[in-house]
Amino acid sequence: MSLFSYTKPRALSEALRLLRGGATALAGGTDLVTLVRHGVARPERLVDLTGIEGLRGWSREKGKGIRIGALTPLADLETSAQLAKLLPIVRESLRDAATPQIRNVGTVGGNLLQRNRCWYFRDEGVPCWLKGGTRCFAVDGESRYHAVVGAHECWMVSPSDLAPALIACDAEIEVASSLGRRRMKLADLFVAPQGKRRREHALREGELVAAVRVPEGALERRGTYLKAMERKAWSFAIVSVAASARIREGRARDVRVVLGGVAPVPWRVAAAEKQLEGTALDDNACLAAADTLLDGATPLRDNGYKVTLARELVRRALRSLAG
Amino acid sequence: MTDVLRTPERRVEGREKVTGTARYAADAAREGMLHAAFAGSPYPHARVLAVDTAAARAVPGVRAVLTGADVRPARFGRRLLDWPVLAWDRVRFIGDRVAAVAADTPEAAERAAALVDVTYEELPAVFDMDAALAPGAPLIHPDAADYRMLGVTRPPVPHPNAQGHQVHEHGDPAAGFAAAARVFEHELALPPVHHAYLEPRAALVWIDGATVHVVTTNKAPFSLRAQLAAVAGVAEDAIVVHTPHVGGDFGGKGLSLDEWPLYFLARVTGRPVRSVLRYADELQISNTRHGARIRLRTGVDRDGRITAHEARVRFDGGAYAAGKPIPFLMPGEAMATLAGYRVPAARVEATCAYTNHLPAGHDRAPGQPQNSFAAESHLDLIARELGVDPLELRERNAIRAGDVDVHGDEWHASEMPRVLAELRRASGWGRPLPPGHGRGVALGARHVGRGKTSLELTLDERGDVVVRSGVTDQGGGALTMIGRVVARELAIAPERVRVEQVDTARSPVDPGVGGSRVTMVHGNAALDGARKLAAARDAGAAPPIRVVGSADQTAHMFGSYAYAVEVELDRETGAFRVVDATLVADVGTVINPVAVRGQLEGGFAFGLGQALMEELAIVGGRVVTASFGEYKIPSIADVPPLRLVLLTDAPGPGPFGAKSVGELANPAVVGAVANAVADAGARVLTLPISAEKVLAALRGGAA
Ligand SMILES: Cc1cc2nc3c(=O)[nH]c(=O)nc-3n(C[C@H](O)[C@H](O)[C@H](O)COP(=O)(O)OP(=O)(O)OC[C@H]3O[C@@H](n4cnc5c(N)ncnc54)[C@H](O)[C@@H]3O)c2cc1C
Ligand code: SF4
Repeated sequence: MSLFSYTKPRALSEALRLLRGGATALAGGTDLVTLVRHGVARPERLVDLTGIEGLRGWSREKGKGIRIGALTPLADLETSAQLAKLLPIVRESLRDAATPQIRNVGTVGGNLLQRNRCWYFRDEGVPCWLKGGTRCFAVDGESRYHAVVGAHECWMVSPSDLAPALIACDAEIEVASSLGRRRMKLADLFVAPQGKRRREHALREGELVAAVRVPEGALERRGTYLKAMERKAWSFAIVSVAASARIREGRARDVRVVLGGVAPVPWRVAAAEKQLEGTALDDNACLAAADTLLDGATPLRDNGYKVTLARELVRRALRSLAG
Repeated sequence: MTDVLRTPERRVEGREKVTGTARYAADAAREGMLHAAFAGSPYPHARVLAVDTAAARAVPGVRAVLTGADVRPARFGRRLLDWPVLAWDRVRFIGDRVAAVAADTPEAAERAAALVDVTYEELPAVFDMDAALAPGAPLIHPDAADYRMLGVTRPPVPHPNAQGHQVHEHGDPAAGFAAAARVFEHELALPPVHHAYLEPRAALVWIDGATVHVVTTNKAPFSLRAQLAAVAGVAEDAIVVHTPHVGGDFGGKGLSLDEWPLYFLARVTGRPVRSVLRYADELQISNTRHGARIRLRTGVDRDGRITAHEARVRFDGGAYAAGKPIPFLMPGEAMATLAGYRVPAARVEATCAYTNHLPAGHDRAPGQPQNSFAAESHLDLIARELGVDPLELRERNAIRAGDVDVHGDEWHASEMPRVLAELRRASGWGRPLPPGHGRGVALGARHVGRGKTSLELTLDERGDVVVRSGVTDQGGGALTMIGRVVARELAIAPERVRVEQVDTARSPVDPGVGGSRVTMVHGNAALDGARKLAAARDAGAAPPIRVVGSADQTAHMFGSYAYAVEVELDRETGAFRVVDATLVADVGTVINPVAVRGQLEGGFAFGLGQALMEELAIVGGRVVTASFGEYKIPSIADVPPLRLVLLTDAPGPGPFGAKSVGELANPAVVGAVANAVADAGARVLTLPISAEKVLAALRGGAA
């Protein structure tokens, strides 16, 4: 474990100033602290965001949708009966994420910005490509949890359960830095590591995520989240599916299908969603869309199963929206 | 007074544990204590050409840096001393230690260990057990002839890469196969798995004048004392080993890892030195359950009765045999390929290979889950081929009094037929299942423990008793059991017996916990002591009365058990759930009712983990499942309720007729689950039974 300094400011401006100076954001610490202890992350300065007022909790403004502060503990979203009525997909996605203890401490921002779970990445002793090395060890190694689609040099998968669910709700994020604020689509926060970009997220130096916003329109859609796991608790998704749609007279509109666990980013293909517009979400339409989503998938040695599994979960998720 | 054994026990250490005041080895500390860290090999097999410690020594706070050259020729082990304390000429697995650092803080020690600069020359590595035993395979221990073996001479091995080898034959297998109506052959495989005890290894060593003190997680302190005496070249009575509470063992804590370099560090620094293993290292370098590949061939007559059996068992022993305590250097039940069945003729051959994987050692019923998975799958496949109900086939072949088992031993008594009859009833065998469900059965048998020990008992003026024993309690409830045996014999309340676990300087020699031994051996010694106290008291001796209770348990006897398990299978994804389970176990007289239930339910969960998800995945010698995020064990949500039926009326050789339960019931779970999944449509021949393999089997592929 490396040595670091630690600061816990009360004001957002102070935190942003420190981040601008090269410090690393610390929220619940459930991911970052493990990375530091295992020597994978070596931050010199940590800025604890949990003392800042105003980044915690969620609210709804009529007509403007929902705003969720980035420092809101996952458990607060999961256990809110009110939110479960407005956005049931969020509770569904969190119920099987991590463990109750971790959801009590882990935050929304931290969940979206958690690092990937590739076991070579998490092993201090393996100098893989994402950590600045020359090759990806998963390509010819143990690859059962790795990507089947959308990967370039690095085959890790986006691990978050919350991200696909929120993307299926057209979520945006508010990004803050000492230079000001900007908004972006949540989907654009995630990038597949490639070329010179050996990272998973698109935040710029000195930025933090202040809030997530879900537009009013998304609240009118029905949504669901399915997750395949190797055990019944504390297990990242082998494959997960977030799906949402507006159902009018038995026909689907505004369909969103986002896969977790299959690609370096939450995986979405516009053509697949378009293909489902106006259908009754019958088996054939669902499986055809699943094929479009997974078109071009090139599984590694150990993970061909993910393709079969994803196809079936997409079918089930979409079918359940119709039902 | 009501019978002590009829009231649920109160754990003597329970209060300390639930209030957090219990002290473990990692809590031990001494004035001036240093912290240790180690540098391990990044290669699975390499020559060590040079070790440069200059940079490590320059780290502020570092007090000593030792390398192989400083400890040479010290090698350690429970039986065969084949594991160098620090490698001096060759490393044999990833993590094999080449240097040890003692420093003022753990951080300084770790930083320094990372700066030890080793020049290696890579050697060809061998990971597959059959490849290791092939002619011309790279030799992993060219100097094996020089290794010392504690207590016995090493049995001969057929290949320099063999750790151990055994062949057994009885009856006339050739005639048995010739007489068979059908002969079946199957091969099954299991990966190495880890015990997953909660507490990682920890140790503190200091030298006080001529005495070496060790605080350890080792569950067999006297064995550690003997091994340390051999490794360090000091007299046994110049070593005091103390094992405080052990936070789970399951067989793994019989091997010490850090104590050896700590001894050398304590000697050169003159200071106490402590280390606590990181869990990543537990998974990366400590002794696992052996991975295995098992080929079984069995002949049956027209009714499915076994006429002859042949087995070829291969174990992956990893880089060192040091973790194995038995002279054959094999997992204890390496040869038990058809445990609990009548086998009139058999030839069983088992070999444990050296490979460049992390070393394998003992894990709860060593060798049995491997053989049980193979045998119970094999018999189920035979039943299906013959069109006989799987439970029926087992009933026909279950061992009865007067029959000979797979080892050629005759059983003088057998509860197996009764266990199966009870299982049939309690599980509702034959009741129609909903679609997508499957039901499986597997049986098992395990010998009760043997061995000898003594302990001291003192009866005071008030009629209270103090027992002093060198036994450790790794969570099994040994101390509570001893107290209840004494209380029952003297007809006093258990609260009036205080059981003290003492270090090796204050106790008669004790064999430690293991081999399903404690209730049989320590329980009988407690009973013997209690009887002596009663006799002295009745003869009018004046308190305090002090006696030594002893036992030498040599009876060879078995506990029998069987599972029925029901699963629900999702045919589109291959995912399945165990929805129902029944265990019938022949346990003899119950001394600790809560612990017996805990051992059986825990054994079920333990086996379930091995069936469903546990696997130390190793790539090129490196364990990639090096945390509990990756190395999955079941959560409580994965474990269905267990219907438990105890047969208590067939007495065993333990106190009041007790038998062993600690390692009784974990082995057969894997077979029962595999058979239930097969009944639902997917036969999987390797563990763990993942959804992926199930789906492949459903779709007709290989699994
Ligand atoms: C055992 C275990 C199992 C898990 N299983 C699951 C699972 O099944 N599904 C799932 O979705 N997740 C799972 N997780 C991940 C867990 O949800 C995350 O660890 C948690 O949400 C992270 O939140 P945190 O507040 O603790 O983040 P931290 O650990 O504090 O931070 C994580 C990262 O995010 C950055 N960060 C944090 N907040 C911000 C912000 N506001 N702006 C910019 N950067 C920020 C930090 O710099 C750091 O790099 C699991 C974690 C563990 C330890
Ligand atoms: S998948 Fe990415 S993180 Fe994993 S080994 Fe390859 S490059 Fe490294």
